[in-house]
Amino acid sequence: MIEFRNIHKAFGENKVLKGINCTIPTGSVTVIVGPSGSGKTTLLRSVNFLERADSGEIILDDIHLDVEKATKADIHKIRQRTAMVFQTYNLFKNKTALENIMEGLAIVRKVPKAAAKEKALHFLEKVGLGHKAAAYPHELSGGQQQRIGIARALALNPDVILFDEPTSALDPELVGEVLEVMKKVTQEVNCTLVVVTHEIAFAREVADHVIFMDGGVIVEQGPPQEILNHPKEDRTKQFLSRYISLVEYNI
Amino acid sequence: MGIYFDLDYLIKTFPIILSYVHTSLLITLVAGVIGIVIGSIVALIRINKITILDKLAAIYISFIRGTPFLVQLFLAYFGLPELMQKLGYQGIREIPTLFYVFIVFSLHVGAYIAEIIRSAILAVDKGQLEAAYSIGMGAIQAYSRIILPQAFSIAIPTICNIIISTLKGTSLVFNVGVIDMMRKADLMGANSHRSLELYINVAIIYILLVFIISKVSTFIEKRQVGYHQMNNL
Repeated sequence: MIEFRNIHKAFGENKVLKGINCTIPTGSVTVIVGPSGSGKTTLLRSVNFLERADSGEIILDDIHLDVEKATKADIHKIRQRTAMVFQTYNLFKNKTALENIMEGLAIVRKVPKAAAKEKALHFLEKVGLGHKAAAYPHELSGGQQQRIGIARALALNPDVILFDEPTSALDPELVGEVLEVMKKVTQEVNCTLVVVTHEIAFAREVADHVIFMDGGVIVEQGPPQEILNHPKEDRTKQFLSRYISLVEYNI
Repeated sequence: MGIYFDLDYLIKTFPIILSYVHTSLLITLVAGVIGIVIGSIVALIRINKITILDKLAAIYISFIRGTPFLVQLFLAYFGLPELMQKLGYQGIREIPTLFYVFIVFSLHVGAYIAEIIRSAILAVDKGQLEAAYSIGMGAIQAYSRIILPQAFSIAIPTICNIIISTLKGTSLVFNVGVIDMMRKADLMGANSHRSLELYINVAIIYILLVFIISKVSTFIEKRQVGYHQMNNL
């Protein structure tokens, strides 16, 4: 379970998060949607303190942190329990695909090298890239890099995986393969998944819970059928209008 | 002084001059290794703006960059023994001159490499550090395993330039009484009155050494070329 209590964050004068309160249940797939600049990425990054919120509380199961007082050790603890998939993949450029996945296991989790390698290969197979184990990131397509990024996060077996717009930097024809892998993840893995995305169709299909954010606040949240098909707030309706009309045409 | 230029003498003395090359190589090697260590530490101090240490590092770098190398050499050679005596150290006479040379060269290389590595670290994509943190690495692991290796491969060509100028800088150490190729050529020239031939030998040896270093540098760079293309995107 992740809980946000009254999270505030400003970049200089620009208030990005204006008091976020919400709970994300354990094992759920929660999708955060909203227009750009609404603060959804900042909220996601505040969980593992890549962005430190200015005030508020973040609760991850038994870790209860007041963000203003969080120490290096607290942050380290929360990072050990979470993993992240980045918009720009951020694979380690000086490591092969296999080493990228092994790194967290062998170095952070201190898994013996042979076991780490075996596990890394297993996850590489899982995202369909077993044959690319020795490839460096620059030798791989964006879609392949992102699939390895997902494998890197999965291999750590974290309590929470944070997806930060995982398909936004991809060429349109590569989006499908990444979404396919993510769907598989939502079905097979029982850790909590938090996904910031613009893929409304994906949210409709896999989400247990949808949060719509705008202007640094949560406008509404609930099950995907409710939020995505029958939004109550005008702001949500306006944002979803192009997606909803698309669906109606399909019908 | 019958013949103006004696090729036989040049060829005959080449092996003698060459037999002193180890001094220059040793100084360059020691300074290179210690300099890279100092440089990395100072670069990290400056990037993370660690209080006080950051100020000291800035003073250190501007001192090294602001004073001629020969002056630094003399300051260490004449100043350090004084200082150590003041601090109560008695065995100054037993310290070989080369010790001071190592210190000056290492500090000199360290200051320049610190600036090179600092800019190389800043050139590494910020997402790399975030990814390292996101999988649970601490700062030391993230820098030593992810950031510094990438920064080094960006910095290799520039570091090689520093190594080359360090190697050439070793021709100044005869000023503090270390016998290197230059000093040997000096001494032999005083006897034979054929200094030109001897200095040509010295020049040839330096050119060869620099040629080898640049070849090694290109070789390392080529091995990383694919990876560099990625960085340049």
